[in-house]
Amino acid sequence: MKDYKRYIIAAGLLTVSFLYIFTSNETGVARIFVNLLTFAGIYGLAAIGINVHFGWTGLLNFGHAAFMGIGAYTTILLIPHALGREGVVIETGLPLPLAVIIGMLAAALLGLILGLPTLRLRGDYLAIVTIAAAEIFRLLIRDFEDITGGVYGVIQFSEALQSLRPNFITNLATSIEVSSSQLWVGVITWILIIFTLLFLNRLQKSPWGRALRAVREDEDAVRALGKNAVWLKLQSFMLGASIGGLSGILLAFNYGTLQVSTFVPVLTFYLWAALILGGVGSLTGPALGAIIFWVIISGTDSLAEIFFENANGQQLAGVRFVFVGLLIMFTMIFTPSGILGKKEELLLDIK
Amino acid sequence: MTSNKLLSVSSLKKSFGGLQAVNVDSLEFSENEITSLIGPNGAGKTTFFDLLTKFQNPDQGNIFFEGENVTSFQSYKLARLGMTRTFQLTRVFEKMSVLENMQFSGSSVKNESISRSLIRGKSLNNFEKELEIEVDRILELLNLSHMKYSYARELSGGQKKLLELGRALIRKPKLLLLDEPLAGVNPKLAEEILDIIKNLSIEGINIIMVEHNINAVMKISERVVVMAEGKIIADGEPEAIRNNENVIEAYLGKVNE
Amino acid sequence: MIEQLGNGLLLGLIVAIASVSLSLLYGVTRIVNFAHGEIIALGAVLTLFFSSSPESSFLYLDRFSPLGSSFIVSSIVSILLCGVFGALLELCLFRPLRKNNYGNVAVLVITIGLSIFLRHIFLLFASARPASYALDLQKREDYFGIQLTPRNVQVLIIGSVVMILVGLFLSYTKTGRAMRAVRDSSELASVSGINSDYIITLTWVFSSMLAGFTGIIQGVINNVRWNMGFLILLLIFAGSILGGIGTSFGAMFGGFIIGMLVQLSVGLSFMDGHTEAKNAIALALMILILLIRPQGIFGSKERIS
Repeated sequence: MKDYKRYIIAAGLLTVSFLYIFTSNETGVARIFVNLLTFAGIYGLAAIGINVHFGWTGLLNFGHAAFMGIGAYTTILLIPHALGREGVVIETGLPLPLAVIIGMLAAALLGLILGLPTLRLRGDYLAIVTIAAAEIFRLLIRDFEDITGGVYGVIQFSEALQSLRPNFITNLATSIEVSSSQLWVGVITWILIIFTLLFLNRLQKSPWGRALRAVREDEDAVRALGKNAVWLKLQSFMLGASIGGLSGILLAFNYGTLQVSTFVPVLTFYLWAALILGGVGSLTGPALGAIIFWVIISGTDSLAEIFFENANGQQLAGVRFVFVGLLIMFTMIFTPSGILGKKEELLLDIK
Repeated sequence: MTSNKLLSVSSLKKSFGGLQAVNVDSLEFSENEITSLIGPNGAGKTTFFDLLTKFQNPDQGNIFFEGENVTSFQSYKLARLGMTRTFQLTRVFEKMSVLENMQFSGSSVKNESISRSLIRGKSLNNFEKELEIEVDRILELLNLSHMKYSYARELSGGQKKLLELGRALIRKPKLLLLDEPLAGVNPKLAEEILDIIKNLSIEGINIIMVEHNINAVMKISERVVVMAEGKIIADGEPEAIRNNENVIEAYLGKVNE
Repeated sequence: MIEQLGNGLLLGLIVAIASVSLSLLYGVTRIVNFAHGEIIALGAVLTLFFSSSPESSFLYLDRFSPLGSSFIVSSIVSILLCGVFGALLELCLFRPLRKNNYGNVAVLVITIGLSIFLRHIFLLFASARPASYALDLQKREDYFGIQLTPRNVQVLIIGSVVMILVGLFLSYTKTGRAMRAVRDSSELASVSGINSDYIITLTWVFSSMLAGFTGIIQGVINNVRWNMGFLILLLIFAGSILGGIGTSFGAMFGGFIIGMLVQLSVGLSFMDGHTEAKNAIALALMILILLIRPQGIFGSKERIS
C-alpha cells in the first residue's frame, strides 16, 4: 500500500541522516545526537502547532515566532531569573508548571487578539497580519531592554527546570558524555511531544476535529449548516498558538538564555520548511520534517564553510537561508504534501 | 400578524453598483408548502436566496423567521434556527467521507467544543451513536448507503447532489431552501429528487426552491413565485401562473431583447 | 514632528509607488507576492553594483567588482533588468504553476520561499552593512519650511511624475486598459480577445520595473540594505490594506498615508530611542483597520471574504 512505501522512505531518510551524523563526527557523537534530537524535537513541536493551523484548519500563520516568543518571555519572566549581566536578579517566582501554563495562555491570548479581526476575512489577511505581528514582536523585544535584558538577554533561569531532573538522567548523561541539562531538556521535549500528539489525535477524531476539517474545505457550506466557522477557526488558532508558546519555552530552556535574537521572524520560515518537508496534515510529519530539516541545515552549514571561506558570520548564516528558501520552494513545487502528508493537500485554494 | 408565518420579508432591497438586484415589497411563507421561485436569468432569484439566508446583507428591509426579526443575524445563526440551504454548484466536503459529511451536518454544536470532544462523556457518545443511526436512515432514503465510507469526491455529480440534500435533511430543518436542485441532473435522478422533495413536504418541512426546469416546477409545486428584474411579478398556484400575462411577457420579453 | 515632514513626504511617495506596483500585480495575477520586496531591493542592488566605483569594499565575492558607470545609466539599466527578471519569474515559475493548477496557498508559500532565497542572495553578494550610492553628499535646505536636500526634491518631482504617468498609462492606453480588464475579470477579458497570458507577462514586467525604480529611490534617499525589501513590504501591505485592496488608486493613497504616518511617528515623544519601532506603528494601524473597516478606504466589501 502506498502508505507503507512512505513510511519506508521516512525510515530510510532517518537512517541516512543518522549515518551522516556518525560519519562526519568522530568524537562526541552522542553529544551531536542529543543536540540534534532536542532541537528537532522543539522545532517539531512548534511545527505541530502550525500544523494545527494549516493542516487542520487551513489557516496561514506566518508569525509563529511571536507565539513562541510570548510563551517563552511570559514564562521565563515569571520564574527566578536575571536580566542581563548587570541587571536585576529576581530570586523568587512562580512554580514552573504554573508559569508554563500562564505562558501558554499568553500565547493563546495573542492568538485571540490577532485572530479576532482577521479570521472572518480572506486567508491572505491572516498571513499578512501574522508576519506583521512577528515583526512587531521582534522590534518591541529589541527596544524594551529593561524588560528583556538588552544585549545579554535574560539569564539564570534554567534552575527551575533542572532542579526537577531525576538522578537517573544525570547518571545516564555522564555515562554517554553529554551535558545532563541538555539531555533533560531533550527528554522533557519528547515527552511533551508524545503527550501533545496523543492529545491532538484524540481531538482529530472527535466532532471538533471533524468540524475543523469541514471548515478547511468550505466555510460557506459550514455556515449554511448552522456552524460558526469563525469561532471554530479561532479555537484552532488559539490551540496552535499555545502549542507554539510551549515550544518557545522549551527553546529558551535549551539555550539557557533568552536572547532578543531568538524569536525572530525567520524562525517561522524554518518551521514551515520543516512542516512542508515532513508532511502537512499528518500528526508525526512535523517531527520527522524537523529532524530531516536539521540534518540538511547542518549539512549546508558545513558546505558553506568550505565554499565561502571569506565570508563573515552573518553572511555565512545567509548561505543557510539561501538553502532554506530554495528548500521551501522546491518542496512546495515538487512534493507539496511532503513525505508523510496527504496527497492533494496543496491544490487547496484558501478562499 | 407574523405569528403563524414561517418566513416573511418586507421592503427588502439590494443593489450592486447602480443596478437594483432585489426589490421585494413583501412576501410570506407559511407552514408546509412547496414553493418554487422562478424567473428569467438575472431576475435576482439567487441574490434573493442569499439575502434570505444572510449570505449577503440587504441594503434595506427586514426578514422575519417564525416571528423573530432576523435581519441582522449571521448566516449560521439563521441555519440554526431551522433554515437550511443548498447551493447551485454542489458543495460537499470532498476530502471527507459521505458518513463524515452527514455526521458533521447532524452533530450538535455543543459537542463540537474542544473540552467536550476531549472528554467524550456518555452523552456525547450516545449522541454520536444515535446520529449514525439517523445517517443510515437518510442514506437509505437517498440510495447512498453503499457509498457510506467513500470519500465524497468519489461520488458522481448526481450522487453529490443527493448528499447535499441528505446533509440538509439530517438537520431536521423547518424550512429548506434548495438552489436549483435539479440543475445538471439526468431525468431519472430528477424524478428521484422530486419524489424525495414531495415526501419531505408531507413530513412537514416547508420548501422553497429556485428552479429553471418548468416541468418539474409545475408538477410538484403548490405555489409559484415569479421574479423579474428584482421584483415579484406573480405569486399563486401553478396553473394560474402558467397563464399569467405578466409572466409570459417577462420570459418572452427577455428572449426578444 | 514637523521636522519629519520632509522625510514623511519621501517615505510616503516611496511606499505609494511600491504599493501601486504590488497592487497592479495582485490585481492581474491574484497572487500575494511576498517576494515583491526583493524585486524592489533588486533595483537598488543592481544600481549599486553598476554605479559604485571598482574600489568599493562592500561587495562580497571580490571576483565581481562594481562597474563604476554613471548613476543615471546604471539606474536605467537596472530598471530594465528588473523588468526582465519579472518576466522570467512569470515565464519560468508562475505560469507553470498556474497551468498546473497549484492552489493559491501553495503559490503564496512558494513566494515566501523565493523571498527568503533572494534576500539572502543579496546578503551574500551585496553587503551585510548598509551601503550608499556614489553620489555626493548634500545639505538640507529649506523649501517652504520643509527640510530637504536638493536631491530629495528631485526625487519627489521625478516620483510624482512617474506616478502620474502610471495613472495615465492605466487609464488611457490600450495596454493599460487591457490590464485593468484582466484584473476585473479574466474570463471576460479573454472573450474580448485579450490574450491573458501576454497581459500577465506584461504586467509582471511593468510592475517589476516600477518596483525596481522604487528601490533605487529608496537607495538614494536612505541607503541600500540586503533586507530593505522585506522592511518596505510590510509597509506596502499596510498601505494597500488601508487604501483598499484591488484598486490602484487606493493602494497609492493608502501607501502614501502609511509612509507619512510612519515617518511622522518618529517625532512623537514616546518614540524617543525607539525609532525602529516606527514600523510597528504601521503594523498596529493595519490590525486596527482590519478591525474597523477591512475593505480599506476605497475597497469594496465583496473582495474581502
